[in-house]
Amino acid sequence: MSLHISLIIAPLFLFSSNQLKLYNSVIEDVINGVREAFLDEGVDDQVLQELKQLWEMKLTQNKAVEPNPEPLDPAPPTLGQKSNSKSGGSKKSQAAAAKAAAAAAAAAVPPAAAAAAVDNAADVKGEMKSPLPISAPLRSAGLTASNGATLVQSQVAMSTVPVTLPVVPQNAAVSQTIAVAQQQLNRLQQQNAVNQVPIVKNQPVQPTPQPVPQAPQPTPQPSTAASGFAALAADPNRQVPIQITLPPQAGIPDALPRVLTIHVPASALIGNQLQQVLTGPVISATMNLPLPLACSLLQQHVNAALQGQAANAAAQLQSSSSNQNNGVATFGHQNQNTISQLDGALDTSEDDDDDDDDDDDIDDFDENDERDEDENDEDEGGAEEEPLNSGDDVSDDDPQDLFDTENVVVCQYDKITRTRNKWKFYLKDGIMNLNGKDFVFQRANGDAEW
Amino acid sequence: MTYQLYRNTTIGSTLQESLDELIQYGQITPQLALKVLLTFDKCVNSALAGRVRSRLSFKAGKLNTYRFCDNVWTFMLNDVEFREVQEIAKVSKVKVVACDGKAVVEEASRR
Repeated sequence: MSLHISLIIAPLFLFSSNQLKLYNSVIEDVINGVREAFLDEGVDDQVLQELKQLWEMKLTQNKAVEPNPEPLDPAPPTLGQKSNSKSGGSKKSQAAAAKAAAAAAAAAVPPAAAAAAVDNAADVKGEMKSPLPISAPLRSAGLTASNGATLVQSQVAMSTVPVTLPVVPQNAAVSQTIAVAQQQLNRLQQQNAVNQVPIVKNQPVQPTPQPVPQAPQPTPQPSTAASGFAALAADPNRQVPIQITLPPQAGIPDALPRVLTIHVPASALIGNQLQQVLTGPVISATMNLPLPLACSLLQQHVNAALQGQAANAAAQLQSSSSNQNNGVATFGHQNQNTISQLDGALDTSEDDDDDDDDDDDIDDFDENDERDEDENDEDEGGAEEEPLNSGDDVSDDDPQDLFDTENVVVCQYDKITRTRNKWKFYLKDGIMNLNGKDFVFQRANGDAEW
Repeated sequence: MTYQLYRNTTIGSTLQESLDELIQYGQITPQLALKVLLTFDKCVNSALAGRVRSRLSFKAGKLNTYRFCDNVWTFMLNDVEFREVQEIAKVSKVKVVACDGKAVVEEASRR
């Protein structure tokens, strides 16, 4: 989701609290309303509760439903609160659990409860604002540090060995180490990004061709981690399995830590996106679910989140790969093998030959082929022609994204009137999503000129 | 008569995603999921009609496009300012999808 200027709508928080209450009441109504249907089909009540939990979790994850910061508002029980009360009950609870609860609490629950969570998480207080330190780059960095860059590279290249290094944030020390490692990693990434630029600049100046390292390593980067990233960057779409170890559920004795495996594209590891995706509320909500469900939930969440970031990442990758290509082009004859193909896979030179032949044929038998040529021209013209009726709409915008916008009002109309080009709208019962935030209204009247 | 158009909102789509997951894991049948969605339609329609009290006005710089099809209005508005008393939200572009509100009333009064 792109960054919008949410400041403008910040004053609307008051009526967004209505919307949160409304949503919770709708959830309650629906759950109660379908209980009988569940019983009729012989579906366990547990499943109904799961549905409720899933739904609530997805809602709280959604930026559109910013939890109401007002402590006076008696917020119905949320997932955050549940895990919070658990961790509040047992002082032995894991720091991670407390952290997750604190993150959720900071977002969702009354200050008193949040304070309790803070007490528990006092030692990790400094990191409370940072997302949970479960992130894939971290893991690959850990591998790099212990095993060396080549190992990571080969692993990534073969893609048979999962890049795993279970992170169990069991205590503050571990999470701090993780946080530190994370920072180093970020720095390395920045270095890598910075170092790519001078290369491109320098090359035209160098008169004599120099042996250039393999494409994925455009810099004499001393950092092993960075070259690991370069290897990842070589195939950003590769699915890399990631293992996430959840700490044992608090409150259940003898519970074992559970390991979830999800698949993410390698590009997600580079951009550090997982860290933004796997945030506290998600993890804490997942902890309470059965293993397969939790797995799929995380996977789905990650997929959905990454799709949103895909455009971003694609742009980044493109720019970086074009940088590399600039560098390689200078020594093109030496490094032909390393030039990555950007125009699709399995493109053989035969196709080109065929095209050439066609051209030759036309040249040689110009008159005979004239008719064919005309047909071809027509076909080409037809392909490029805009769809019928498109010329009828007088519109400055690209028709494709005309109806494609993030701001949507779904409602009912009482009356729509028009006098000349002046329109008046009398709307009711609406749910709006403006700048990524939800609002509800009973009535909305407005006007506009066409 | 309850409209299904609210399925295409945050609360509706999150419900559908949840149902999809449960179906995927064989915990519920698609038929049951459909029942849940129909219940949702009813609940969200009545909740909006009965429990929401906020009134607001809006002024659009420009009505870019309008469309009326199957009793559904669709508007693309540009430079819209939503206002509820003192509170203001501005968006450069918004799509309004509106079903016939009177049809529901007539339907209800006919019963």
